[in-house]
Amino acid sequence: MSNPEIIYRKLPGQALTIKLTSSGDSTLWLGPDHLLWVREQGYSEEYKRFYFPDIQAFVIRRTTRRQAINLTLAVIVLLIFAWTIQLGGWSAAPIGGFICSPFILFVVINSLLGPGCSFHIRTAVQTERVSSIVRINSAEEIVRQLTPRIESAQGEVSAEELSGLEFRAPIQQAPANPQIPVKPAGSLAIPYLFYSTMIANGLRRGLLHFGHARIFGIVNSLIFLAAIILAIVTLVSLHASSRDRNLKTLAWVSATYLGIYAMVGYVYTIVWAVSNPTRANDPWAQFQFSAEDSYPLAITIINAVFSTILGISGLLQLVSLRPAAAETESMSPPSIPPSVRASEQTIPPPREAVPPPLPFEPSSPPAEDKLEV
Amino acid sequence: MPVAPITCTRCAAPLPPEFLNTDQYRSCPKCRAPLKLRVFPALVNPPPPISPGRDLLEGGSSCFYHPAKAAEAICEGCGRFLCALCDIDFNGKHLCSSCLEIGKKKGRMPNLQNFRFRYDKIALNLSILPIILTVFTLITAPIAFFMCFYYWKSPPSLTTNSKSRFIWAGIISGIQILIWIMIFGRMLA
Repeated sequence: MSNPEIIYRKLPGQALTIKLTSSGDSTLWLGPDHLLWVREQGYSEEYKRFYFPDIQAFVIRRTTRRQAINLTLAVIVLLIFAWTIQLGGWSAAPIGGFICSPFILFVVINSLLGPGCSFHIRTAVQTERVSSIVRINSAEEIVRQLTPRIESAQGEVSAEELSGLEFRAPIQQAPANPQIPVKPAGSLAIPYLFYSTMIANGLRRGLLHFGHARIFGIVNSLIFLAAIILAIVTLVSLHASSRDRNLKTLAWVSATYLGIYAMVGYVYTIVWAVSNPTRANDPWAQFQFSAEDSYPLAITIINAVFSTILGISGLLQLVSLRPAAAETESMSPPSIPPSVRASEQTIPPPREAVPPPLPFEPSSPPAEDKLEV
Repeated sequence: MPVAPITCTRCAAPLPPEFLNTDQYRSCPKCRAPLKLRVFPALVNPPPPISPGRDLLEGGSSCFYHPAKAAEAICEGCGRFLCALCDIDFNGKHLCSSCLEIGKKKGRMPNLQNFRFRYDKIALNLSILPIILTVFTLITAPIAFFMCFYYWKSPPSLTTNSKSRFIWAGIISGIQILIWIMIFGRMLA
């Protein structure tokens, strides 16, 4: 098969996405008469084309991506630093600084990349979010590059045309087909509880610093047990719901992490109990050992960091889902503000339904060898 | 003609015309999200509705698929007469739906391809990643080497017309195979 002779040029913007998520990497390419959006999913590529004569609008929405990333990284840096000093004293501060340095570098890079945004391309049949464009600078640059090309294909729109533009009322959503089973969205209470417990799981070892009372040891173990149980319940509840795939992926990552940590912790506890049989039932003694020895200390810091990162990421994702969830639950069509038409301030009545196309039954397909396009 | 309103991409609230083609970000009336819109004539002048085609007159040519309709174009793929309804304008060419479908199936229309499998990436990863667990290269290196030749003519990504991944995969897996041959050669000797 011959390779197509279309030459594409890459446009700015490439979101740094976690490879584990379903979305994968995506990039935007400029073709001779269209935009090509490439989405990589593992070892395959999916393409979507936006032809210049079809593009109706670009919508750039400023988001709090930059602030959210910086805040998350700052919390992580503070946690790592606090844990290092708490466990190793002020002499361990340089080690904490060394561990924190990649996160600080990310903060600097993230700040330099500029404010975040979401970028949508609208055509007559769809409004598609281009996930590769997540920074205002990239979005503005793309609009700057594409506007002359689109205008050469469509012409320019005048201010008079825009002021006389009439928007029709949104089409009422058709009632759901009762024969097609639709998965319910499901409650988010359990995922909220799970990710809050994940944060608590990251911080739980700090409880033992309040003293070596047995109650702190019990609470410490209970938090970890609760995190594992909630992970299982969250996976079950999300599996039966129609929630976002990224939310499900993050739940799986969190549950897997907890499973690995539980296995490592179990092996470590068994080894420690065998080597210290007289103190096997004393969590305070075990904690003292873990604070003094380098390997358990590293595991404790890793747990604090990873649990907190996963917990905060999960909570942020849940918070970002809330507006969409509210829209789905209300199911009420959005109302048009009174000033829809700039000139007349009236809302036109909804258009009549377009009649379906004529039935189309080709008598016989054309010979394949004749086709040369 | 009224057009579908442009909605806020966060809350789906319809946006008033004041938002269109401004240099500044404006807050959505419902959720206050800062938005900037750049619109083009396709929004103001939507494409004309599809014509059902003219009825056939005495002595005129009829559409191949609709004998009661007058032919208005000739398919550039198969040469059949088409009415206005059957005529598909694709990249400036007049085609019927059957030719379009065949062209997509046979991969002769690159503009209709919306999926590709990256065998070159598989071959390269198969030749590099197992190096971490050295012993696995005994199996993966021949597979990667075989893939380089078997899938050499498979279409690459639409955006890059390069065989470099296959070349690198071939070189790396070839070296691994040579090393294994040397190891087994010494063992036998």
